[in-house]
Order: sequence, then structure tokens, then C-alpha cells
Amino acid sequence: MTRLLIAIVIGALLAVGGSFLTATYLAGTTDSTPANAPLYNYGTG
Amino acid sequence: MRRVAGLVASGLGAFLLVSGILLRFYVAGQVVRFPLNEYQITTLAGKDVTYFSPSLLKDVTGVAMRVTRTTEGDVAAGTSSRAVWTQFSYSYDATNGVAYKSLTQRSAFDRRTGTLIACCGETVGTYTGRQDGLAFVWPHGTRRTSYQIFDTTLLKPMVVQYAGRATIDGLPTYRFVERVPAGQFGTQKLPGSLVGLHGQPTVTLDEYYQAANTYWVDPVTGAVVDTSEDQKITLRDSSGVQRLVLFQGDLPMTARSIQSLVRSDRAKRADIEAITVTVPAGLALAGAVLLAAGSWLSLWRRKPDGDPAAAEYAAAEAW
Repeated sequence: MTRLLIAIVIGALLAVGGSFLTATYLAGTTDSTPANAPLYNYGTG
Repeated sequence: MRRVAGLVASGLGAFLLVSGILLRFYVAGQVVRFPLNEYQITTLAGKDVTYFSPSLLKDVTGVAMRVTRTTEGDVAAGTSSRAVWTQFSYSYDATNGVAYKSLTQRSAFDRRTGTLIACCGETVGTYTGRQDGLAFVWPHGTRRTSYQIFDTTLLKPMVVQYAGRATIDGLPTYRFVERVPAGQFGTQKLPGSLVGLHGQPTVTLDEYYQAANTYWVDPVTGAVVDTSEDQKITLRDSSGVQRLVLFQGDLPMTARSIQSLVRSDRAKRADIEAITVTVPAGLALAGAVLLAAGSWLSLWRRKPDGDPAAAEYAAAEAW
């Protein structure tokens, strides 16, 4: 029973750490500079 | 061996179950935000537009008008909770090949709700005062209710009402309409001869604005995927008589712009639905099954059949 609880706690802790890392990584993907602006000919688009 | 497999399955199940729960209630909240690095170009195009030409000093009627809007995020001014976008609108008389006007709007807003906030150099043309309501985007999970939108002509928030569902290019959207009844919002001084008052060198006339602006919003992403702006700006004298039309026209978004916005929105919508519904549900379900199976495997043991040695062994194995 003790080993089972330890396995569950380890799994849960790994999930917490993984979720934190995932959130940090994904949140940064929309914080970069805007994509290169194409030349645009106003009035023709 | 069975017990080891049970422990591994239990640990993996706990990992998946907790990951699913955190993905839905923590990661999604951190990730589902409006981007800092926005870049998009949209075009509105109207036929039979009337406007006052400052160069010709007269009303020009029946022209084709194109309004091109370039929106770009100011990444350096943004934070984890705030985005700052700048939109440059350029109106072009395609019939006569002349520019009509341009307007720059820089606004800061909450990255989850889209609500405008005070921050760092917000402007609408020469106006640098407070901006309230919504501007470029609507809240994630837009509801079927009324919102306030910052009107860049009146320079104040106006009510925009929910007007039903609509499908734009196959995408389910909510339609919202901002109705502005004709009302004075400023004055203009100009030569009397321009408005038929030849006896007066200069006259001051009241500036009136009325509009019916329609927005089609993806309720999941909060993105505006279509817009139509039907506006009229006139000058009236003190008795309320219309003296000059500064602008009158209906400007719907071009099909090309709608397709581009919908294509971009579909990708965002799929990401949001994956991170808030599909993936968390899958992880939680798989985790729960694994956890239950692993617990059963690690806790279940065969009955000792009355053999004291076997019972002792089984008890030792279990603990």
C-alpha cells in the first residue's frame, strides 16, 4: 500500500512539474516579434 | 512482477490524471491569451461612397472606397497579461485614385478579456485620452450579451448588442451590432462658400455621426472574422439642416480578407479546443483507467488457501 501511494505521489509531482514547464514554454510562443511584414501596396489588396 | 507492473501503471495513471486536470485548469489559463506578436492586414471595400474631398473642395459621390487596416503588435510594450497593438487604417478612393484619410489607433488590452486598459502611449489619431471597452478583439468565450466597444469616431465606448448567430465561411460566429443614432459629436469651422452660405466668410457647423457597425465574432477565440461599417458623417447648421456630407457609405469586408481571417482563426480555435477540452479529457480518462487498473494489480493478491506459509508470504508481499 505504501509503495502504491509513493508511485501515485511521484506521478502527480511529475505532472505538476511537467505542467509548469509546458505552460512556461507555450506561453512564450506568442511573445516573439511579429512575423516579417510583407510589402503591401495600399489600395490594391 | 504483477505488483511492479501495477505500481508503474498507478504512477503513470496519476501522472496522466493530474496532467489532464492541470492542463484544463492551469495550463489553459496561462496559454490561452491574445498574442503579443499579432500581424494582420484586412480590407474593407465599399461602392457608391460619398465623401468630402479636401483637395477638390467638394463632395465626391459614387466612388469605390477601400479601407486597408494593418494591425501589428508592439511586443516590447506587452507583458504576460497585457498586449499592445497598433492599427493603421488607410482609406483610398479607388475610383479617382486619391487617398481619402488615414488613422492610427494604438491600444493596450487585457490578453484574456480583450478589455482596453491604460498603459503606454495609447492614441487614436491625435486623441491621447482614456480608451474603454473593447477594440481589436473580444473575450475568449464571448457570450451572447451586450458589450461596450470603443468607437474611434466618437472617442468613447458605445454599446454593441448581440444580434444572433451567423456562419461566416463555414465558421459559427456571434453577430454584434453597434447602432449609433444621429448625434452631434463636434463642430467644424469652414468657409461659408463651401456650404452655400456665401455671405459668411467662415461658419461653424455641428458635426453629426450615425453608424451601424456589425461585427462577426468567433466566440471561442474572440477574434473578429468579419466586419461591416455603415456610417454617415455630416455637417449641420444650428437649425439642424444638413449642409455637407463628410462621409457616407457602407464598407463591408472583402471576401479575401474574410477567408484569410477565418483560416487563421480556425487554427487558433483548434488549439484552444484541444488544450481546454480534447486533450485534458483524454488524459484524465486514460489516467483514471490506468490508476484504477494499477491499483487493483498492486493490491490484489490470491487467497492463501489456509497455508500459513503462503499467508505470511502474501502479507509480506502486500506491504
